[in-house]
Parts: sequence; C-alpha cells; structure tokens
Amino acid sequence: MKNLTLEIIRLSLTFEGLMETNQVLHEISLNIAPKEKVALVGESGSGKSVTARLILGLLQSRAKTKIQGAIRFEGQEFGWITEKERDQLRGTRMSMIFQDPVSALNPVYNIETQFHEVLRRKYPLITRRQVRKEAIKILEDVHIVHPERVLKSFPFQLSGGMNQRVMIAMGLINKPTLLIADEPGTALDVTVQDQTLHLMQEMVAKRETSVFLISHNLGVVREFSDRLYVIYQGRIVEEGKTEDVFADPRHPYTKALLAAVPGITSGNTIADVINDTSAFRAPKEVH
Amino acid sequence: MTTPLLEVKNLAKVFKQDGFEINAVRDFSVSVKKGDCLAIVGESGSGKSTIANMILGVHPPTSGEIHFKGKPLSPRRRKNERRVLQLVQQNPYSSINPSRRIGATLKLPLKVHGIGSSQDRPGRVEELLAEVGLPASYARRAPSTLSGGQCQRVAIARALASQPELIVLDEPTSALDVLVQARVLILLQELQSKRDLTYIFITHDLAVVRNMADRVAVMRDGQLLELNPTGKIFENPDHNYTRSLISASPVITKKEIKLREKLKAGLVRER
Repeated sequence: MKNLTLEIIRLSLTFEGLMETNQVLHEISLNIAPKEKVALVGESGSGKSVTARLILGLLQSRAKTKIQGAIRFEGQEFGWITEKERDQLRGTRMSMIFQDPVSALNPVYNIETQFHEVLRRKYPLITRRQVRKEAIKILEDVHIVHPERVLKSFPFQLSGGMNQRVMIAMGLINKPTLLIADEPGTALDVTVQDQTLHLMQEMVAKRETSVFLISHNLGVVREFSDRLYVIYQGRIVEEGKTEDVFADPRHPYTKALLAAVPGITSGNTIADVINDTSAFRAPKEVH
Repeated sequence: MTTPLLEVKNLAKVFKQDGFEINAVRDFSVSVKKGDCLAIVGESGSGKSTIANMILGVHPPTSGEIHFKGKPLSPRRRKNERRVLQLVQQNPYSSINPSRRIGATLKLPLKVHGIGSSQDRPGRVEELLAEVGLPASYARRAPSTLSGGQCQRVAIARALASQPELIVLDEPTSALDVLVQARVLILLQELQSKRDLTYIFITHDLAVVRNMADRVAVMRDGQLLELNPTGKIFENPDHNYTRSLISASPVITKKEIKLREKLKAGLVRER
C-alpha cells in the first residue's frame, strides 16, 4: 500500500463550554496522497479552519477540547507523539500559508530575519550567509526580481502580491511534504490571486509537495485541486475528483453552492437560493 | 434628452502626503441614468473608493464637478443632499455601531432627516426590516447576535431608511459566503426595481458585476480605461487590461472557461 501523506480517520472535535458543549467536527475522514492537491470547501463556520489547526497540532494541547479519531501524518499517529515532537514537524515537514500575507508576516523584522527563523527550525546551526544564499535562490524561484532588496525590506514596504510570494517561498523553503493553504490570496485582488495560484501550482509541482487547500471560492478550487471534499456544519457531505464533482454535483448542498456562484457569461443569472437547508443534512455522496 | 441623475465631470483628486503628491483619480467623467447600475471595477489602489467618497461628499474633489439631477453638489453637503446619497460598506460588523440595538440604528436616519413623527418610527423600522427580509423582533437585538449576511441586510435597511435615490455599494458582498452573497444580491436587485434606485457598485469581483451592472467603468491607477455596457465588456472589451482582469477571475462552468480562453487569445494577439 502506498504511504499516504495525511490520513484523517473519523475525526470529531468538541469544544466544551461552561454550560454547553459544541461539536464542530462530526467524524470526518479524509486523506491526501503524496504530490496530491486536495481542497476542503465550505462556508464560514463549517469547520474548515479547525481541521487545518488540528493537522498542525495546534488544538491538541488546549484544555476543554475533546478530540476523537485519528490523524496520521506520513504514517505517524498524532495521538502517540509528544507535544515537542509535533512542534518539530511544523515548519519543517508541514507548513502553512495564510489568507492575508501582510498580517501573517512579522512587521518588526525584515524578510531576511524571518527567513532565518524558518530555516533555523530545520537547520539549527545555519549561518546568516547560508540563509541569504538559500533565500535568494527561492525568491528567484517565485519570480521576485530583486531578491537582495526584498530581503532587506520589511513586509509593509512590499506590495500585497510581493508579500504573498515571500510567504509562499517561506512555506516551501524547508521542502515540506505537506503545505496547508488557508484561502491563499483571497484578501488580494483577482489578478494577484490568479498569480498566487499559478505560482503555487508551479512550486509544488517542482518540489513534489502535497497541498491541502482550504477555500470557499469554488472557482479557485476548480482551477487548483485534483480532488475535493465539501464540508457543511462539520460533516463531509461530498467527495470526489474535482472534475467529477463539478460535472455532476450530487449532494443538495454542493448543488446549492454551485448554483449560487455568479457567472461571467450572459444569461447566467443568480439562481434563487433554496432557503430550506434541511436537505443539506442528507448523507454523504462519494464519486 | 432627460437629465441624468448623476453626472460627474472631469473629477480629479490629489492627496498630498509628506511632500509627495498622489494622483488618486485623474479626469474621471461619467453620467448615470435613474434606475441604472454602474459598476466601477479595478485593483486595489485604482481609485474606485476615492470616486465613491467624492460622490458621497467625504472628500471634496481637487477639481471637477458633480451634478445631481442637473444641479451641482456643493463640497459641503446640505442635509437633503446627504439624504439622497447613501452608502453600504464592505464589512457590516464594522459599519454598524456594535453598542446600539438594530432598532436604534435604523431609527437614527429617520430622526436626523425628520422622516415621520416619533410615534410612527417603530412602525417604520418594522417595515424596513421586513423589506430586507428580517423579522420585526430583530429591532431589539444587538449586531453581535446577527450573522454576516443578516448584518449586511441591516446595513442595507439603514441606507434605505432615509429614502435615498442613489446608493453607493462599496464591495457589499465580498466579505460574505457564496450562498449568502447570492441572497444579498437578489435582495439588492429586488429593491432596485421596487424603489427605482440607482446603484454605483464598487467591486473587484467581475462575476458579480456581470449579474448586477448595466454599465461598467474599468479603472487603473486613477484613470478610467474603459466605460462600456456590461455585455460589451465581457464579450469584446476595448482595453487589454479589461481582458486580463476577466481572464484572472476564477470560474466554474465550461461555458465560462470558453469565454475566458477567447478573451485570453485576444490579449496575446494585441500584444
């Protein structure tokens, strides 16, 4: 059997409040093979981002959080390793890029210092000179014209698109096996978003990285991912190859989502959205 | 020929900062008929919000004139000039006062502009809520108890409260999910035909523009590149930049992919 990069088996997550408990994930299962680009689509509050945080191991040590099920990263069971071991995975074997690059980068350090911080996670003894060499190399890969100047800059001196490139470069510099992208570029313009997606595609193909893309933008998902999962209120409602799901959506929620996207061709008016959401609780559809 | 509802002539805005001059808007002219929806699209920093702010009277223009119903609007707006031009902003959570109940938020414009007597106002608030599809009991709620889509409906109701003729919609749905966005867009279309409203729709989402606007103004670096009916913009745009904007927007159907490919092909040929 091929070793999966990420495997999530019947994962449930419950936040315990003072008076009530709030179950945000209901036995979700998903997997990502090496070099595969998988998307998780859903509306806000559907559990997309907590899933990403669980994969990164950021919620496991939180009190009042009940987790059931298993997360396996490269065959390693998350429940069995210590907090310290989980910490060592972040930034080296798995990394994440965020929605808004300007706020994700630290405004009080220049780009070079931030690259140093990232590289030090994998190579604790790396020198400043090696950092510069590695960083220039990867910045050239993300098509930045003057990498030396960018390294000396602070994030607020660069445009949104430049920051986005820097963040992608930082996410990939340690050659992680899994890149988690939470709505990359949606805080930016369409043209920058388009560049971001193409750049990510190019970079992960070169480095053989798997990608877990979290998005509510169906257009982005169609263009980027090989396979997708649709999540609604903490339950996976449909999964399949991207082209299959877009050609033949089966679950009522997926159908409603696709109908709600405004199109750019004529005679493509916004459909009346069904206000009755009870059908969205229908069982999962698998392609 | 009837006079257009809004006519903007050679509008320009220069911001001065630390001795630098920034030309936010250069020589922008457009006229909007009553009942029309004009979309202004462009990347961030293209000057689209500055135009909206000048129309609303937030910043006085550096040069140029704004005429409303054939009469020039003064840089310092009178109360009635403020009443007929209203705004709906992008993020409803920050545009609505969080410490005021929904009812009080909707009552304020009625009070300021002296619409109806104070006894009628609770009834009017109920009507406004009904118009945007919210139950009357929401008047007693705080904004924090509402979802993003519901909050945006309140923002729309607040704009409607003062019985405006033109509403500037500054990215009204880009903070919302697709399903919620579709519902809000349908609501906006219904209100437009019911109240005979004129919209200026500012956005960078071209798919939304396709479904809402009658005409589209494409902006870049403060300059108006192209002003054409929506159909022409999407089938045979005059400007290469418009082509590249459309081919950058993510789409979901085969028909749309075809259209995008066509525009992309045109882009290469003209180079």
